Amino acid sequence: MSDQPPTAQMARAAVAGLDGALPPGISSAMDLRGAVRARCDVVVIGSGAGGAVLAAGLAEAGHSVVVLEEGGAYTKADFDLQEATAYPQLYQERGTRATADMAVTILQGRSVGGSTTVNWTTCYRTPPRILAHWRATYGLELSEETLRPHFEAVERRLSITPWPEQNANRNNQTLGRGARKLGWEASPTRRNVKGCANSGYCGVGCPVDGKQAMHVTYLRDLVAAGGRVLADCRADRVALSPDGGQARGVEASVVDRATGKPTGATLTIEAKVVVASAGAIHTPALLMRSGLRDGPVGRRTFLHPVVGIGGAFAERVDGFYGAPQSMASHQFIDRGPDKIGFFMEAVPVQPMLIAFASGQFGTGLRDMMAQLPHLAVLIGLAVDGLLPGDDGGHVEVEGDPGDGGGRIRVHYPIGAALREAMAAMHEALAKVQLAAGATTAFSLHSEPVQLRSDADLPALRAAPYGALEHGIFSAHQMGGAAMGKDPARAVVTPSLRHGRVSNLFVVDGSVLPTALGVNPSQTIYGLAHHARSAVLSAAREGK
Amino acid sequence: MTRQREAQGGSPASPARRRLLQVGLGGTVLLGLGGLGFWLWRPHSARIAPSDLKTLDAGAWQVLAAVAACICPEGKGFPSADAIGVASRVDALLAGLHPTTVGEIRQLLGLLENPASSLLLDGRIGSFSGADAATQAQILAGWRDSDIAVKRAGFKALSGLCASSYYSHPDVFAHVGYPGPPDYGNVRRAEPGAAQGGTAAAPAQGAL
Repeated sequence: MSDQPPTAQMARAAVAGLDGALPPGISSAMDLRGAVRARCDVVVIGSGAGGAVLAAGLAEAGHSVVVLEEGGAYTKADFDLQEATAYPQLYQERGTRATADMAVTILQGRSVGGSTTVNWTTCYRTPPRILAHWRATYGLELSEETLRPHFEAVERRLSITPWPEQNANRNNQTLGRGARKLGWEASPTRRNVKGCANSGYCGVGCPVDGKQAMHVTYLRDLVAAGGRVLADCRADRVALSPDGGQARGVEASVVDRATGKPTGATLTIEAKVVVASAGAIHTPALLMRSGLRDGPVGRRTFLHPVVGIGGAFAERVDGFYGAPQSMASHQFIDRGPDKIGFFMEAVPVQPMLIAFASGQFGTGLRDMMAQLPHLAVLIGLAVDGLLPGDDGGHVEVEGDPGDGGGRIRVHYPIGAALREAMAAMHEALAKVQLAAGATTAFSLHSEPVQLRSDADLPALRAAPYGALEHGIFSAHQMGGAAMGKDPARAVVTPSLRHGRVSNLFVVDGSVLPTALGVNPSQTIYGLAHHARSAVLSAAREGK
Repeated sequence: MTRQREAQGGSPASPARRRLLQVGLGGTVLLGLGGLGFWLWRPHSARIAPSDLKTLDAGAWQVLAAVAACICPEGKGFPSADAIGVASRVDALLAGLHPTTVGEIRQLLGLLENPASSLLLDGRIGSFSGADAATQAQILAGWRDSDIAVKRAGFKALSGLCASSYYSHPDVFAHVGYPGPPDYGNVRRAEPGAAQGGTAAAPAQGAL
């Protein structure tokens, strides 16, 4: 490699247009050799909920667009519905991502389509109470009215519609039935599906393209408009002008899909506008690798920390089949000004996920797993980031050698308020399971607390809560490059433009100033749709 | 319920104590001790490591295989972790992880095996792989419940890898009552004999 800074190399190099350098459509960068250079209007880093929606709009407006994706490109023909295949193939760190202390298991997608390829399809508009909190606390003018046309547009494109309650599988019926018996709110979710086979395999890649994930929707729109997606290509850094005020493009490495290691080939893309859409963990890491440590980058990372409670039923539940999430309860979303609220949903009761989540081992694990068809598993998701002083976690790039090869670490301390919420979630979930008819409800402590009736609740209350005391998970990563008016508290402006680099935007879940209290995918789709106009203006200015 | 009772009995400071131990002993120092495990001691194992390991050396593989047998014991019709090939499946998975992470897993296995660290941390004499199955289970439970964060996290990492590998294997599905995924007939079968769904279950609509 040259000793010259990337920016200088880029300025001197003869840069090809896209047609000479990169194949059309969705392709793998593993076919590239040597040092490839190309030029386009907008380069988008990440092909998930943020990047795909934004990129499609830019291409349709006539701009040349390249989307870089670190993961592989797959279609339904690649999805064999085996957890053993899917988690290593479609999730970050082969499905093993966790916080640095191992306390929180982090499920996050890593393929063309990002997490939308593996999410469980649950869609909500951003709750009004969250928008109000952002307005009051961060000066954000986003309102239901502002966002409505954007939400309507993505709802049309992604077929986001209510899932009929009669189609809920028995695991989700457990949540609805139990909550309502207790007098608690429970409602069917909306899902981004069309022609859904109700298979239950959303989390391992939809086998029938029923899920309207990015690779079957907005990325197809992008390609139809002449845009390109390059898979197996890791953005190492944003190349900046000497004064740091302008992005010149992106320096990227081709990674081998099988090993995750760089092949040695590199790609340099010069662009008028650079968009970071790599998600709430990788976008802050990319900014930090690029020397953009302005503001609270990598700080206030939120996870919607999840705990679970199992229920053993006399009858079969068969929770491995049927849409994994179709009912939810927001009964405890607001627990007052001093407590962390939560909501309750269901999960796919598939063997690997449940064996891992249980925290047990040996004969105890084996005996629990032998009951799999009779188990219902429900989760509580804590809404982090709303209480004063709840700053969530942070992201760091450990031992970065400067070539993008540093290890990304997520740190997430679990404080007293969250431990209290975890205890409350356990109690609410256990009550739901018992009210729904579970013969036994059990916690995911390594030595599970078993409950046969509400009389056993004191034992659950007395159990320890917090890091490495029981299973804790996250499927929703948010924050780390927050939007806001105050540069001291935000990384990007309300229009998602970087605070210092005027042609750099962040369009993904990392811009969320707090967690949402609902599954975040639709908020990210909507914000990306909303951001199209600002990014389009920047691309036009750059011409 | 031992741990719960202890917690109930007034050790809400337990997480703080673990943090203290983490800082005091230092995860890095502990893991460094683990790194000596395979240099000074050879695992006591009748298992013969395959020659085509991707990330682990034979000694680390043997300790991992012993851990896997403990996490996923044979019996009640369930196949052994050896029959499922858990240690080799984990070895292959590790090949896709960051080299630093792989190094930590190796060190964890060394720490578990190393008689010196066992004596220092657990007060026990002997290696993990040389212990009988009941003792191995006690050792792992000790790690799981340890006040030392590195050990508790290490248990979670090793047990999670082994349990995930074992229970995602189609040969285990029937034993947990899982018919496997339905066959939609559109999947490229790149590797004949690779993990597949076993029986073609009725699609979910029919099953509900």
